[in-house]
Amino acid sequence: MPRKIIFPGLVMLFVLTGCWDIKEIEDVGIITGMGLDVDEENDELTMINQYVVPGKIPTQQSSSQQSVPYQNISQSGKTFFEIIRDNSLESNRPPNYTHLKSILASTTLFEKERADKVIDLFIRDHEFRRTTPVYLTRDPVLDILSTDPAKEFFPSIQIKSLSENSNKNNKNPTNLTIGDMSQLISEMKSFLIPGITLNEGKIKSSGAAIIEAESSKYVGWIDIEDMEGVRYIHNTVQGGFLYLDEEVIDDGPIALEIKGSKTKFKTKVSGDEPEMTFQIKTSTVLAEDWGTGRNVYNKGWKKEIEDAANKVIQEKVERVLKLAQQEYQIDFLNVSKWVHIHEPRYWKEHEKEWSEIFPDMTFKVEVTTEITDFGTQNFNTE
Amino acid sequence: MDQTLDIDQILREKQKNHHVTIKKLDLENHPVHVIYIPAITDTKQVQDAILLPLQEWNHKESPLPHAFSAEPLLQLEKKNDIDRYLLDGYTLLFEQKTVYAVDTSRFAYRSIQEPVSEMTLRGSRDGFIESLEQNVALLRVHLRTTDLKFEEFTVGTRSFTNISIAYVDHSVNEELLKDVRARINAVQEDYIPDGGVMEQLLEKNNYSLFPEIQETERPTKVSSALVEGKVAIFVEGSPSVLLAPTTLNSLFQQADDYNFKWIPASLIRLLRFMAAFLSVMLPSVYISLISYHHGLIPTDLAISIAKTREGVPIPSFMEALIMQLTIETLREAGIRLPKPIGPAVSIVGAIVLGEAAVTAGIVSPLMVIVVSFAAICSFTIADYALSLALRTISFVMLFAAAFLGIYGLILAVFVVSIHLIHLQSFSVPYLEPFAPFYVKRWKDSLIRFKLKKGGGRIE
Repeated sequence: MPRKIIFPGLVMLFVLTGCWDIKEIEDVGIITGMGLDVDEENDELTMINQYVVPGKIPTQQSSSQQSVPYQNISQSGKTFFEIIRDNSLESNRPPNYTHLKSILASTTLFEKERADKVIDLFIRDHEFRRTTPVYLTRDPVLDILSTDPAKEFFPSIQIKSLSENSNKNNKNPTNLTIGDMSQLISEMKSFLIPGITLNEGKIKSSGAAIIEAESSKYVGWIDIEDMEGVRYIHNTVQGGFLYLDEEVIDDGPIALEIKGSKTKFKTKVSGDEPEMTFQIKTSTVLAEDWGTGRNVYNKGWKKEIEDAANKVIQEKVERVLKLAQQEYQIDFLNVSKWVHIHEPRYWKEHEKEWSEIFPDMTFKVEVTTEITDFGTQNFNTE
Repeated sequence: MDQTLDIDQILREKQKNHHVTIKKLDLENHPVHVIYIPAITDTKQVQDAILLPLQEWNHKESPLPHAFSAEPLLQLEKKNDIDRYLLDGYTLLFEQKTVYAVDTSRFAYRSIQEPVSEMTLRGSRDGFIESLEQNVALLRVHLRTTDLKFEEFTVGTRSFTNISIAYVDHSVNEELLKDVRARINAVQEDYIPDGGVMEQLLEKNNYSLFPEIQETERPTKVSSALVEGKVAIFVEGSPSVLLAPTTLNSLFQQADDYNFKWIPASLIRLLRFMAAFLSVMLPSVYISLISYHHGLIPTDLAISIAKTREGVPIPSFMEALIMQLTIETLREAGIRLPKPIGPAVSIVGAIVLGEAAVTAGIVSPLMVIVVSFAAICSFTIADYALSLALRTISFVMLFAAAFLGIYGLILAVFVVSIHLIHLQSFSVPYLEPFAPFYVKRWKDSLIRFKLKKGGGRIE
C-alpha cells in the first residue's frame, strides 16, 4: 500500500523538520555595508558593520530626522568570522549579510595582508553574495561609513550607487564584485579596485587601487584623471563625455558626449616580441560648443574636432599604458587576457615571465572618433 | 410485485390527514372518490377539468377515461405510485378498484429572477427557480433542438425528489451518460433537500476539496455546457443545476468571456487565473519571505518591511493567520446578515478593525495590504465551491510557509498539484487541457481565442 506510506511521509516532511531557522525580518540585523581595516595598536583586524536601524528611517508623517538610521559597530579581532560573532555582544540582532551592498576596505589592510586571505571569508561563507562590490580607500574607513549621504539613508548604499553612474562619467570606475575578485585572484592577475575618498565630509569616487598579482597586495593608486584611459583599455566605455580644451582645438573648448565606444584588441607576435594594437571606435555627439565660428551646416565641420578627439583619447590611453609599463611595471590593465586569447601558444610558453615581458611590450593606439550629431540648434548659421 | 389495491384502506388512511381532501361523488350509485391535496393543487382546475366532466359522465355508457378529453389520465397500479402522484399535486380518482391520476399540480414558486450568486454584465439575466418544470422550460428557451433529451429519475426513500438529467444527443458521450445514470440510481438517501446535497452524493472524491460537479443557476451556462457534451442534472426544488463533468478550467469560465471581444476577454480570463493563484499563494509567500528568506526581498523593501514590523508583538505567521481568519469571519458574517445590515459589516471590518489594528501597532500595514489583496483576488473566483477550496488551501499554504518557508510552500504546491492531476470528474481529468496536455483545447482555457466564424463552435 504505497499510498498509506506516501501521505504520512509527506506529513512527516513538514512536521519533523520543523521551523528551526525561522527569523522574523524585524529581528534580523540587516547589514548594508561593511568596512575592513587594521587595528594598528593591537595588530588586529578591524571590521565595521553598518546595521540598518529601521525605526529611525523617517516616514512621511514625521519628517524630522533625529539621527542617522544606521549604526556602525566597529570591532577588532584576529579573524573576521570572530568579529562577526562578537557583534552579538553589542547588537541584539544578529547580522545578516544577504543585503550587503558594499565592502569598503582600507589600503593599509591590503598593504599588510594578502587580498586572497582578506576575502576568504566572503567567498567561503554562503550568506555573502558574490555580487557585492568591493571598494578601497586611503581615508579612515569608519569616517566614510559615518557620513550622512543626504539623498540616501546609508553611506554604504551611496558608495555602491556612485559606481552605477559609470556610464555617465568615465572617470568613475566600474564595479568590481567579490566574485570578480576571487576570479582574478585565482587567475593570478593584477587588477584594480575602485577607490573612494572622503571629500569635505562627502563620499566621492576617486580613481582605483592597484593590487599586484604575486604579492596579492596593494601597491599603488590610479588617480581619477587616469581612470578614463583605463576604461578605454577595459572596453567598458558606454557613455560619458570628452573634453577638448583650447590646446587641442583652436576654436574651443568643446564637450563631446560619448554615445558608444568599442575597443578592439589585435595581438601580433613577431619573433618573440608580442605587439598589441588597441582600435578604439567612439561615436560622439556635439554636446557643448564654446567656439564662435563653427557652422555645422558647412560640410566637413567635424573633421577638425574628430581629429582633436582622436588625439585626446590616444593621449589618455597612452598615459595609462606608460603608468602601467614604466611606473608600476604591473599589468593591472589585464591585457594579458588578449594575449592569452589571440596567441595561446605564445602565452603558454611565456606565461611565467609575463611580468618581465609586459613592461617592454609595444602598444599601438588607433582611435577613430565620429561625430554623428550636433544637437538641436546651432548659432552662426549665416 | 403488484399488490392489489385496497381502496378502502387507502381512503381510511388518507382521511386521517386533514390536508388531504376527499370528495365522494355518488354518481347514480356508482361511487367515485376524488382525492387531492389542496395546498399543491389548482382547485379551479379540479373543479373545471374533473368535477364538471364527472358530473356529466354516465358510467353505463362509457368507461371513466372517456369523460376526460383534455387531460391525460394515468392509471395507477401500485400503492407507492398513489402516494407519489398525490404528493406531486395530481388529483386521484378512485373508481371501484381502479385509480386514475390527473395532473392538477400548482406548487408555490417564486418568479424567475437574476441569479444572485452569478453576476454577468452582458447576456441573459434569467435564472433557474425551484420548479423542475419551469427550469426545463427555461432551458428550452435557450436551447431549441430536438436533440435535447431528458431522462426522469426519482430518488429519496422517505421524501421523493424528482431528478431530471438533460443532454444533447450526438454531443454527449454514452459512457458519461451511463455513469451519471448509475450514480443517480445508486443514491440511497432519505431526503434530498437541494442540488448541493445531490452534488455531494454523486461525487466520488469525498475527501477532495475541489468540486467534482459544477453548479449554476444560469440557463445559458447549462445550454452551452450541454452543447459541449456535458450532462445537466436538474433537482426538483433547487435552483442550482449540476453540470458534469467539470474541470478546473471550466470553473474559471464566465459567460462574459464569450459575450465580449476575444482579446479583452482573454486578458480578463488571464487576470482571473492570476488572481486565483495570488489568492492562494500571496500571504504564504509573504510569510516565507519575511520570516525565512530575507535575502530574496529587494533591500529597500526589506528595510521598509522591517520598519513596519517594528513593534508588532506577534510573529508574522500568527499575524497572517489572525488576519486571514478575520477576513473569513467578515465574509461569513456578510453572507449570513440580512441585506440591509450587510454593508455595516464591511465598514466595521475594513475601517474599524483594519485601521485600528494598524494604528494600535498590533498588525503591520503591509500584512493588511497583503491579506486584503489576497481576499480581493479570491473574490474574482465566481464559483463559490472552488473559492471555498482555494481558501482552504491558502491556509494549508500558510502553515507550510510558516514551517519551512519556500521549501515548505513548494512541498505543499506539489501535494496540491499531485492531487489535482490525480483527480477525475466522471472519468475526465480535472486539469484537462493542461494535464493531459491538449494544445488545441487551450483556445478556451487560459485565454479565450476568437470565435470561429462560419459554422464553427468553440471547442
